[in-house]
Formats: sequence, structure tokens, C-alpha cells
Amino acid sequence: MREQLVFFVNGRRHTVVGGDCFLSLSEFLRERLRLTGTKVVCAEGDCGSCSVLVGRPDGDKLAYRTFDSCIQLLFQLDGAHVVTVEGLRHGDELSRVQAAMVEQHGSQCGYCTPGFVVAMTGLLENCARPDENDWRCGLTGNLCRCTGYVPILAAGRQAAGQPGTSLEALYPSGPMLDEMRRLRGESLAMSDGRRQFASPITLAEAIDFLAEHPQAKLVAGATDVGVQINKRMIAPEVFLDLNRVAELEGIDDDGQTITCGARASWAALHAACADRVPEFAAIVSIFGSPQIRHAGTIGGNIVNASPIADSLPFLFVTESELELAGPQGTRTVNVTDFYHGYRQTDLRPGELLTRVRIPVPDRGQHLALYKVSRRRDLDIATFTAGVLLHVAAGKIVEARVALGAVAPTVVRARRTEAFLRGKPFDEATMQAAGEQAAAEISPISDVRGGADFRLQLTRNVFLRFFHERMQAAA
Amino acid sequence: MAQAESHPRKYKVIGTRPVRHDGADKVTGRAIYGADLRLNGMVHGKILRSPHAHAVIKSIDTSAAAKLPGVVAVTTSADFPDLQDKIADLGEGAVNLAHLGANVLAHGKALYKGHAVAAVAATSPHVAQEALSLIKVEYEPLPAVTWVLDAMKDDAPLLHDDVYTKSMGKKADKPSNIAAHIHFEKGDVEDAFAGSDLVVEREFKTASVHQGYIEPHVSTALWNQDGHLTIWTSTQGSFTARQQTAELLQVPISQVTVVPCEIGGGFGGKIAVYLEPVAAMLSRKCGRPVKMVMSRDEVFEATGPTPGSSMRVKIGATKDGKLTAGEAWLAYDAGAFPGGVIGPGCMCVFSCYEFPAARVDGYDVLDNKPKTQAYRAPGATQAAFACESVIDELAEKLGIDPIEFRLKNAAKEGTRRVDGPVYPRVGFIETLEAAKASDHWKSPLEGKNRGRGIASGYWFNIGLKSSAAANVNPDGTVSLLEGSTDIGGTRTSVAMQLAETLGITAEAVHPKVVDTDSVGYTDVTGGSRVTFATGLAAYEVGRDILRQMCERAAILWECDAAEVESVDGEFKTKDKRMTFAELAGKLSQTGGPVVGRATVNPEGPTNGFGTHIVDVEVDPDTAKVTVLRYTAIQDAGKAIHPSYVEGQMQGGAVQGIGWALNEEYVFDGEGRMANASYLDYRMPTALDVPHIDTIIVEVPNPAHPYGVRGVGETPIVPPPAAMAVAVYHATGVRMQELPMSPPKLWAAMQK
Ligand SMILES: Cc1cc2nc3c(=O)[nH]c(=O)nc-3n(C[C@H](O)[C@H](O)[C@H](O)COP(=O)(O)OP(=O)(O)OC[C@H]3O[C@@H](n4cnc5c(N)ncnc54)[C@H](O)[C@@H]3O)c2cc1C
Ligand code: FES
Ligand code: FES
Repeated sequence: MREQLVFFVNGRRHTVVGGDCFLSLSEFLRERLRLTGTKVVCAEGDCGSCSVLVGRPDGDKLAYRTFDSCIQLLFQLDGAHVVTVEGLRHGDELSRVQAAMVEQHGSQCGYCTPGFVVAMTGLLENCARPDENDWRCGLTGNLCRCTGYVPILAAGRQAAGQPGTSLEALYPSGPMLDEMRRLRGESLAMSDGRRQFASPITLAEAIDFLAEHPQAKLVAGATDVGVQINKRMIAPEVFLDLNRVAELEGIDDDGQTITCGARASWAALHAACADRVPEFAAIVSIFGSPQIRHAGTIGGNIVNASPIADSLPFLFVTESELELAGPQGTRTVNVTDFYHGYRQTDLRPGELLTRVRIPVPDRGQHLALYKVSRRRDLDIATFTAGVLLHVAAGKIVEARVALGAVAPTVVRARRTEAFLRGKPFDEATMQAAGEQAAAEISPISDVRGGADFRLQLTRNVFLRFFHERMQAAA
Repeated sequence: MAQAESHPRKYKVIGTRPVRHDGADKVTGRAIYGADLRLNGMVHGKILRSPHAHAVIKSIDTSAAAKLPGVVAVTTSADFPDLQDKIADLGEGAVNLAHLGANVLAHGKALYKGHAVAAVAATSPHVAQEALSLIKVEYEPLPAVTWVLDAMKDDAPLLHDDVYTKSMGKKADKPSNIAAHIHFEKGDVEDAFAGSDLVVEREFKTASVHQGYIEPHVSTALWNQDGHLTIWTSTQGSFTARQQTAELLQVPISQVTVVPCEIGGGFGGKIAVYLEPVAAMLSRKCGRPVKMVMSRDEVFEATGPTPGSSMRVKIGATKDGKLTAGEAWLAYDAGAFPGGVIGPGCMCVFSCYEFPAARVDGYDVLDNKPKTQAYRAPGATQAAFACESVIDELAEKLGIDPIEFRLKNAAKEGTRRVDGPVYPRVGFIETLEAAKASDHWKSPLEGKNRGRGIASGYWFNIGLKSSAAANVNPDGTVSLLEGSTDIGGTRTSVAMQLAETLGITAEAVHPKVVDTDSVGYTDVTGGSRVTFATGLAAYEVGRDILRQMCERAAILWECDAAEVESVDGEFKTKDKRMTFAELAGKLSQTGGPVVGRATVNPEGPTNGFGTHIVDVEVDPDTAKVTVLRYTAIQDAGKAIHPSYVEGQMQGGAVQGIGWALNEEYVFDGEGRMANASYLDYRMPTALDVPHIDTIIVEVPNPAHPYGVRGVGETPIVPPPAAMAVAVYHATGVRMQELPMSPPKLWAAMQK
């Protein structure tokens, strides 16, 4: 059992013990290492000012992705290489992104600039020739209030057209990789007297720890947990870090079912679903922001149990199965039975979510997923929906409808489904289904929208579904 | 004063696009902002804030907090001098110090959710946070009011019992939430309406929005044993911050030094002090430097939103499209203390047009929100939303093209605004002509659910005081010291004007923003004034240097100074010449260093007009608006650094799009802000806005040697109105409410 954190920052190795392990990465960088280029602006993943690049082993190299350092707990970084804005220069020279930001006048007040420089560098690391859309989508995790984004995007285009030094060239991974591999094989735990965390490498260890510490806060990507801590909604004293548990990794596809580990990130799921379930991939592509998709996991989204969780309408209409593991062994629960009430799940003390099995809709089925929000990206939903219809010879054979943000949990509109079954697939049926669905729910009004608006969105979904199908068929 | 000698109009530096002097610092993370500062022995301060929107504070018990290990100081308003009835002139008009003080730390009553009540300093931010939870405050909650019209009602909860409506110099006899009534009138309004062929009257309302600067407020104070107070802070005006702090603490102004750090945006919201006096008091108590940083929710809940408004605008016109009369009734909320931005709102509402007769009534209204602050063209955006919407409707009903309609009535040299001033040469017509000739206006918009809108806007260009000084270095460069904090690249645009005057390159000027002890008094970075007024100071500094350098050349050449001319970076007589750099290298032989200095205080507002065109598409199912294309056109007088002018136009337009579509303070039933985070307060991302095209029009400002007009603020004025018109053409619904968020637009589309 190792009792110190080991990780690298801008190529330098650091070890940390004690209370600092519970700091956010941004606080550690700013206060302990005095790397103040990383800014903290919202402390909840909404602005990207705190962006850093996190490199982890991927084959024989390090793969770097952009993360919001304000919502990463330091212990999650064990065995990783963190590159901050200060680490991007090549000796005395600015990097191509930095130079382009200067030349294109990409900063006004400059407070957002380090975060943009990091996010742009991350984008270019992973996408050699980004187009306009890649740039705009790739920077949705970063807010700038001064520039209107025009010169920043111009800087991105300029940088992309120039040769640049990769992070691999800047920080040869060889020596780091060796140590990282070794670190990966070691369980880790620490306490500062008041708080403690365990970062096991096997599921069995994780379950044992949870049995001993049923109050432990599980941490996957921390995109929910980190926000809750920063907003002082929770103050856990015991953490169980799931980041290194091997059994929670991986995504398999046997042609009928996609099985993914609870730790699968949204970025990984997007890659796995892009061809297989493009409708879901489209929802994932507007999930949070790049930073959130790199850190956030499907398991966290499911267990966080928000009625507006983006993955759930899809998981509900596909009747995905959740594999739960605990001291009594493993059991499987259909996701539609998993939620008992607002943020209440079927998880028993000592249990955790290990895998998600998603039956892939076959070609004969029509799947549509909707997310209505104010902005196009990095936004929580006002309303979500999933509709899966199996139509044969003009008749609806099977119907599944899931609605989010209209009740304490995501819900299946069972009466609407029953109504649809056996009906002809036409405009009148779908219109009536909308009325039926609206009658079946009683949404609330909140800052994101009124109840009447949500009811209308519910009605609209069915007609829109119909018209989209007709258009696709034509 | 600055009616310069006939200057060569072919510029070498002005109009070029050099990279900014601090560019590398910004992209490498090396620039030091307030939060990045660390001093020896520094401790961390935090503020306890009211959970109620309106409550009497019956008692505050800080004893348990003071005992927590690590806590080094605790303070409440009881530690501050009693400022009852003290009025101070803070550069931009008289300010009631008791109100300013009570906003910094509540005095007897909490007036909005998030109002500061007490503060602690401790060895770490975490300990300070914990200490806050140990402070016991006994509140007696009162009913709260957060909508301006509700606050104006007779039976509304009263915020202050010592505020009486001021109306045309007279004070009412009973206290009221209406702090002031403003009235402007020109011509015979009734008569003029009676003579109109068409009159359109509409009511509008807008929600409070936040400036949204990315950097949260931050200040560090060190009250030294010798009694000198130094404050490092993020401010738009170090001198105003110094004055406000000195007044609130009742210490001599000379005892306070304000060191401006790099500032991460302000837009008007970083002029008033919040943390500075509190950090100072904590530092006085513990003898150590105290740093205070706000969190994002504190920024939303306790610092400057811009007013929510209720407005009624009535405009008449003749059949052939001449405006006859205008009438506006504007009520803006001021938040918890009097002195909102209703004044400029009233001046701007009809400022784009020639009205034979007009009347404006405006109300400054107290309610339970943070004290409202300036936000880019403060007060003008709301007013333009109302006026321009009515102008568009009139044009439509008269069957006249909206640009032609504006051209027929556009304000020009000699037009008298309803509040009195007569315009000098202005460039409004030129922006309209440029709009008409733009590719955007000429390309038809096709497709279902789409619409195009156009609107114009106006903002002043205040002068005020600026100082600057510059030292000539032996290597031919010049170090420029200025007092204007640089938010958007003004170091460079001011340095360029000095470089132009001296005939040297922009790179040869090294600009530096210095503290209040190191440069003469300089007013805030705001009012679109820095490139204009501090630029003017730099120009005067340049002339001072040239005059001295000519004298030095005369000493070297043993001739009369009057024989030496300076042209394009060279000094010459009939037969001798020397470059600026050569002479700079010889200064020590001619009597020592040359230092140029200037202070200016230009009078008389000049003006900036803009016109924006926007195309949108509205999803008929979800009422979501997508902005397809956007063009901003503005008269910049003379664009010193065109990229910076474009940057102001683009940034302002995008803020205006946010204001139009999504941004708003949402209040719960108890008057508490329900969306105090970026998660729920939606500012536009790169994906929400299209490329913002810009067209700079240059109609030189007669009041500036290089023709500069301030450009910072006008760009936020037209967008909401332009967007509302575009949404109308896409949906058939004229939105009279901001924001046009999907739920609100959807509800309007149902009617
Ligand atoms: C800026 C921002 C934008 C966001 N945008 C979206 C969005 O568009 N759509 C959306 O749906 N969500 C969004 N989220 C929420 C969040 O990102 C997702 O819910 C994410 O999937 C959570 O995953 P995580 O790994 O980060 O969870 P964590 O924060 O690590 O964990 C979340 C919860 O699940 C528990 N948990 C995690 N893994 C397990 C497990 N294997 N077994 C048992 N319990 C577990 C944790 O204890 C915790 O209670 C956003 C969040 C932020 C900060
Ligand atoms: S500080 Fe805003 S995302 Fe981290
Ligand atoms: S430059 Fe100021 S926030 Fe981007």
C-alpha cells in the first residue's frame, strides 16, 4: 500500500502526502506550486479558466486531455502528468498557440486567456486539422466575456496552420511512462487525521473499503462531486477513488450490446457510439463541454441521479441494465427500476455501479433523443426526451418513451407507450400521443423553464419525431 | 484646448495593428492579477452575507468566530466611522457616503440577499470560511421587493426611511423607494402628437443582468504600523478606489496608496469599492496583509447588476416618415441604494434622432437587489431596446425601409438632444449608409423561421481627467507612465498615440500602469474615455517631450531652439538632422534627462453611434433563437488600433446577444437570486454566436488631435433591439420583454 501521491507537473515529479491530497488541483497549482496562470473563476466547471492538460498513459505514449482543475481532487491525479499554461512555452519561445493569441489580439482583459491557450493546445493535440465547427465545439468549455470569441477563433486557425511542437516532444514520455506503469499497479491510501481516501486498483479492494466505510464518497470523474464540495453542499471525510479500479474500465461491443465500465468517460463513449448509435453520440457530443466529457463518466451520471441527466432518456428507452457489485456479490437492475425518487437510487449500502449494458437498437427501430436547453452546449437541460419506436407495415409494434426534467426522476410514459402500441404511425397518432404524454406528467416550474413550457415541449416531441421520420424517409 | 495644429493626416503608427506590449505575459500566465498576489505574512479574509433579501439585523455575535484557532481579525460595520449625512464628490458626482459604507458592510439592515454583514481574516481561506459559520446573526426578516414597478407602489416594503423622492430640485415630504424623478422636455409635445399621422406606443420590460466579467473581485490591503494603507486591487479606477476607501475609513487620502493589479474585465462593475475598505479594516486589526477574493456566487449576489427596467415609449411620425414627437417613461431599479443609471437612460432614449418635440420622465427606484452599477453604456441599452423597437414598428407601418426611415430622422451636427446638448459633427448617418452598403444588408435572407433585424445605438464619450508622464531613455525608447488601468489593451492604444506624436514606433514606447503615488490623478477606465482622454494626455506628453528635445538639439547644435523642427522622429535645422534615438542618447550632455508630462480634462461630450444588423432563426417547437449572421457598424472617429476597435465591437455585440436572449437575474418568492452561478446564468459561448463582422466608420472627432471617439460602450446598445426585430420577422411576434429566452418567447408565440 503506497502512502503518497506521485504525479508530474510540467515535467517535474511531485510527491504529496497529508491534507494537500484533498485540495483541488487548481488550489494545489496556485497555492503550493505558485503556478498562478491557472485561474479560478467559477470553481464549478463552467468557465474553463482553470483548464490544464492531463496526460495519462495510452499505449506507449501519454494522451493529453483538457480538464477543469477546479473540480479535480488532487488524489485523482496520481500517476498523471499535468501541464499548465506555464508549461507550454518552448524555452524562451511562445508555443504556436500562444504566439497566435498574441498576434491575433486574442486577449482583452486576458483573464480567460490561459484557459483558452490550454484548451486550444488540447484541441490541437487531439485533432490535427480542426474545422470551424471543431473549434467552436472544442472551446465551449471556456467563457470569454470580452472578445466575442472572434480573435480567439482566428488564433486557433492561425495556430492550426503552423507547425508546432507536440507535448510529447516537449515532455518526452519515456521516463514518466515507466514510473506511471509502476504506480498504476499500486493501491494507494492516505489520511491526514481528519480525512482519508483510498484509491484501490481492484474491485475487491474497493468493495472491502466500502464495507468498512459505508459513508465513503465515491469519486469517479468528480464533475458532480467536485462541484458539490466547492459549493459546500457536501464535505466528505472519507473518499473512495474509483479512478484506478481496473474492472470499471473498458467498453465492449458484441454487436448487440455495448457493455461499458462505470468509469467510461463521455469522451470514450462518444468514440464508441459514433457509428453504432449516432443519436446517442449526438447527445454525448453536446454533453457539458470538452473538459466535462474528458472527466465525467457514465457511472457518475447514472448514480448522481439527476432528473435532467442527459444519458438517462437513452438508457431508459433501451432498457439498459446496470451491474451493481457489493459485499453480497453482483446483481443486475434494469435502469428503469433503479430510481426510487428524487436523487434516490436502488444502490444498497456498500454497493457500487460496475458496468452498464446497453442493448443497441436495431436498424428497424426508430430512435430519437432530445435535449432542450438555453445554450447549445455546456448547458443543463430544460427538458430531455427519448423515443424509441418499432414500426412494421405502418403500424407501431413497440413504443418506449422516456421524459426528463418533468418529474423527480426520469420517467417512462407508460400510458403513452400503451396508447401507441398497435396504432398506425401517422401524424394524428403522434399528435394524440403528445396530448396523452402531457396528461401523464406534472412538471414543475424553475429557473430553466415553466411547467407549461415543459408540457408543450412534451407535446412537440411526438410531432417532431414524426416529421423527422417523414423527412428521413423522403 | 486640443484643437491641434494642422497635423499630418498620414499616420505611421495610428491605424496599424501592433501586438500588445503585455501580450506575452497574458498568454503565458505570467500577468499578475489580484488573486495571484502573495505577500509575506498574508492572511485571508471572507465575508458573511445575508441570507435574506430584506431584514433588520438585530444583533451580530462574532465572539465564537474570533476564538477559532487561525482567526486573526473580525469586523462589522460597527468598526467603521459614522458617516451619517456625509457627501463626497467622487469624480462622477456626489455620493452619499453613508450609503456607500452601508453597501460595503450592512448598517442595521440587510437590503439584499448577499449583502455583506461581517468579515473575518484567518490564516487560510478554509479557516476563514469555517469562522463565518460561527458568527451568529439575529435577523428579523422583512418583505422584499425585486421588481421595479412593485417597488414604486405606495404599499411596497420601504428600503430606507431617509430617502425622499427628489424631483426637479424639490424633495418630497415622505420617504419613498423612488429616489429620484428626472424630467426632460423639448417643444410642445401634445401639439406635436396631435399633428402626427401615426403614433405607436408600447410598453417594455427588461430583467437585471450582470456585467459578467470573468475575474471575480479581489483586493489585498496592508495597513502598516506607520499608518499608511496600501491596497492592491482589481479596479477600473485606482484613484476612485483610493478616494472611496479613504472616505469610508475617514483617513487622509495621502495615507492611502492604491496599486492597480491587472484587471480581468469590469465593464462598469469595478468602479465602486466592495472589498477594499473591509480588507483594510481587517488588516488594521491584525497588522498583516489581508487578501479577499470573491467567489462567483458572491459576484452575482453582491456586485453590480445593471438595472431591470419598465419602460413606455410613444413616438409619432408623419406619413412621409418624419418623426414628430416622442414620449418616454422609464423606471430603472437602482438596487438597494439610490443612484442608478436612469440619468443616462433618459439622455439616450431619443438620442439617435431629431425630434421636434419630446418628453422624458425617468425614475430611480430602490429595491432589494445589489446596488446596481454601470454596465457598458449604462442605461442606454434598455432605452434603445424600447425606442428602436418602436422606430422599427413605425417604419413598418409607414411602409418605409428601416434604414431610410432612420436616415430621414438621424441626429446630425446641430441636432439638439432632448436633455439639451447640441451635437457637434457626429457620424450616425455614415453608419447607416455603411449598413445600407454592407454585404449583409444586400444579401437576401432565405429560409423558414428566419428574420433580419436592424437597430442603432448611441453612447457618450465622457472626457474627465487623465494624467501621464514619460521618460526618454538613452536607447531612444520612452517609458510611459499612466494611471488608466488597462482592461482591453489601452496600454497599447495610448502608447501608440505617444509614438505617433514622437515619430517613433509603438514598440519603442514602454507603457506602464502605475499606482496612485506614481502618476497624476486619472479618472476611471470607463465612459469610453481612455483611448480618447488618456490618449490625449499621451499626445500632450509627446508635445512636451518634443519641445524639450528641440531645446536640447539647439544646445548641441548651438543654435536657437526655434530653428529646430521635429518631423517624423527626426530633429532638424536647415542643414542638420538627428534621429530621436540619436538625440536621446546625447541627453546627458545637454543637461540631463527629459521627462514629459501632461494632465488633461477635456470638456464637452463627444459621441459614438453604431448600427447593427442581425439574422436569426427561431425553432418553432422550442422557441430557441439561433443567431445566424451579425454585422456591427460603428463610428470610431479614428481607429487608433483597428483590431482593438473591432474587439470592442465584437465583445459588446456578444454581450448584447446574451442580454437579448438568455441573461437575467431570476428571483425566488423571497427575493433571493435563484441562478447565481454560470451554470444557470447563461453567458454566450463560442458556439452560441456567429462570427461578428465589423465595419468601422471614421468621422473624426473634432475634439481630439487624432480624431478619436471612444468606442467601448456603444456596441452593447443596439443588439437587444436588433435581435427583437429579427425575432419579429422570424415569428411574427414583437417581443417587448428581455430576455427573449425560450420559455418567454414560446409563451409569446402562443398568443
Ligand atoms: C459544467 C458541467 C456541465 C455538465 N453538463 C452536463 C450535461 O450536459 N448533462 C448531464 O447529464 N450532466 C452534466 N453534468 C453533470 C456531470 O458532469 C455528469 O453527471 C457526469 O457524468 C458525472 O460523472 P462523474 O464521473 O464526474 O461523477 P462524480 O462526480 O465522480 O460522481 C457523481 C456521483 O456518482 C457517484 N458515483 C460515481 N461513480 C460511481 C459508481 N461507479 N458507483 C456508485 N456511485 C458512483 C459519486 O459518489 C457521486 O455521488 C455537468 C457538470 C458540470 C460541472
Ligand atoms: S474555474 Fe471555472 S471551470 Fe474551473
Ligand atoms: S479577454 Fe477578458 S474574458 Fe476573455
